[in-house]
Amino acid sequence: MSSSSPKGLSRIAANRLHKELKEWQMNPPAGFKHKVSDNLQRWIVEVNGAPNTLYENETYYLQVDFPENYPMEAPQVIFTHNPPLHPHIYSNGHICLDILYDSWSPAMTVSSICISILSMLSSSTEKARPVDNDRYVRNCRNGKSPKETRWWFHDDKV
Amino acid sequence: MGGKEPLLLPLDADLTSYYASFSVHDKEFSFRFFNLPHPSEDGRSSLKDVKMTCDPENRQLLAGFDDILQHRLKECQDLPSFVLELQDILDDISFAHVKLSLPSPNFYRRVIQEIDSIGWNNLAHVGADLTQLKFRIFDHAGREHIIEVALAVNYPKVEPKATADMPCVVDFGWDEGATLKTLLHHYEEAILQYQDFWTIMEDLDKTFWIMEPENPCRSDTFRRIALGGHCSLSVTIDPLAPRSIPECRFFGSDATITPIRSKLTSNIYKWNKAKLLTENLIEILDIVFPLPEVNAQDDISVSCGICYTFRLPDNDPTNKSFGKEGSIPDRACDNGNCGRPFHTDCLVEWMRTISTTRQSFDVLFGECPYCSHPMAVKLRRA
Repeated sequence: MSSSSPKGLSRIAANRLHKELKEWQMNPPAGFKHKVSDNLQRWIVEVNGAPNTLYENETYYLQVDFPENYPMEAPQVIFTHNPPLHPHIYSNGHICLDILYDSWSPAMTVSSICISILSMLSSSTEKARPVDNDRYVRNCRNGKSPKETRWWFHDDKV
Repeated sequence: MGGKEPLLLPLDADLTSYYASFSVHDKEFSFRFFNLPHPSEDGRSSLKDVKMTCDPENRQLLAGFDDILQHRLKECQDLPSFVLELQDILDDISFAHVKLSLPSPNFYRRVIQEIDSIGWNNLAHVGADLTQLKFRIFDHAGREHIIEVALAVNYPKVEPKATADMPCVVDFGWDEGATLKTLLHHYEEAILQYQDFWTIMEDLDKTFWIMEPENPCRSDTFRRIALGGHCSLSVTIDPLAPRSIPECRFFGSDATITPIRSKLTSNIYKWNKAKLLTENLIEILDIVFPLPEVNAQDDISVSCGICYTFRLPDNDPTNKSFGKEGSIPDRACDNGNCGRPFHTDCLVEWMRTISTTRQSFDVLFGECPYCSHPMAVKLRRA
């Protein structure tokens, strides 16, 4: 299901998201802030670059959209506004990270995704766009969801 | 039908309200109609906004037919044709009820007398027409038992219906000399039989963390006891022999359950009928039972690892069980270090979502979403 035709959340999805949000509020992942809204299906999360990394003192925003049958299907996670310069983050905000696509499992949560993204940022050694950035972004012009991309995750080091 | 021609009288000058009277099976019925439409030019008009009133007795007779009446009003184009429909409906109803109107005065006299002899202080609740009664009986342990009795209009010819929260149906053999007092006496005797059963169950509920039923009733003969580590034991107790060995079923990962199950089989000779069920279980299983926790159902160790709930909410509003209590996690990962519980339905849905799952006949082979340990799930027959 692409983000262009959002359906309402199923009862199971809404129930689970309520619990995740409750857990988040009691125990937020370090470096993240959930921007309060009444939309359970789209979370906006503020990310603060970890100290002593290339992204220290920088603030970014993640947009997390949940499919109707969450958690059977992964949420769509993209950076909005100015995505951080990173070899796995495209200039349109799409993130090349396996757990968001093929390696998703209902055992993961928004919180665990956020931690993975921060760790991806923190381990980066250079601030640069992916080598295929221009070609990829051109292909995604019509608001294509990153979930429609066939990703290949060739680099685990960064 | 045999009813005479209905009488229709206008009640006001602009012909928007009418009085109608007719008889069905020698019974007089009268209705008032308001808010009638002014006849339109083409002669067609709808009665859909018409309001009707009648006396309370007829109102009771027509209770439950509101939809039909509404429908007929919509369909009929003038009042006389609707009144004919109404006559038809009443004909059907009174035929079905065969003069099932109000009980005779003797009914009330008899019921009052019977309650007198039982004692009004034993009456917990009474309906306005004396056909619904609730009696209370206290047993030796001071438990209050409520016996609900429904009397038919032709009581005592027809035997009353009685229900109580008990593990069995009480047969009170209704015959010539039977009264409510003898009926209650049968219940008292039955209650006496289950004294030990309730003692055992109350001790169970007090001592262990009971996962199911959520709010145990006196009629429930089974309990699901939390064993910790995502495991549970379901016991079914014979209410007439509550101290004998109950039927036991274990739920949870094999790694955790197997040692407990083997302790049960090897120590079963130690079962002592003089002891309470909880004492026997503690001695024979030789484990520490977890204590109930506040909001235990939100606890990560008992709720499903996929949907995060304990009771699976029913997703399909067309389903009969929609809104009722859903199933509780009934599968657990067999990896002893993981052991996450899941609803079978959630696991099946997840396994069907990913492409690596394999199916053989009605079994799905996949992995635990948490630890990737292999898991097989049998599909439920639809």
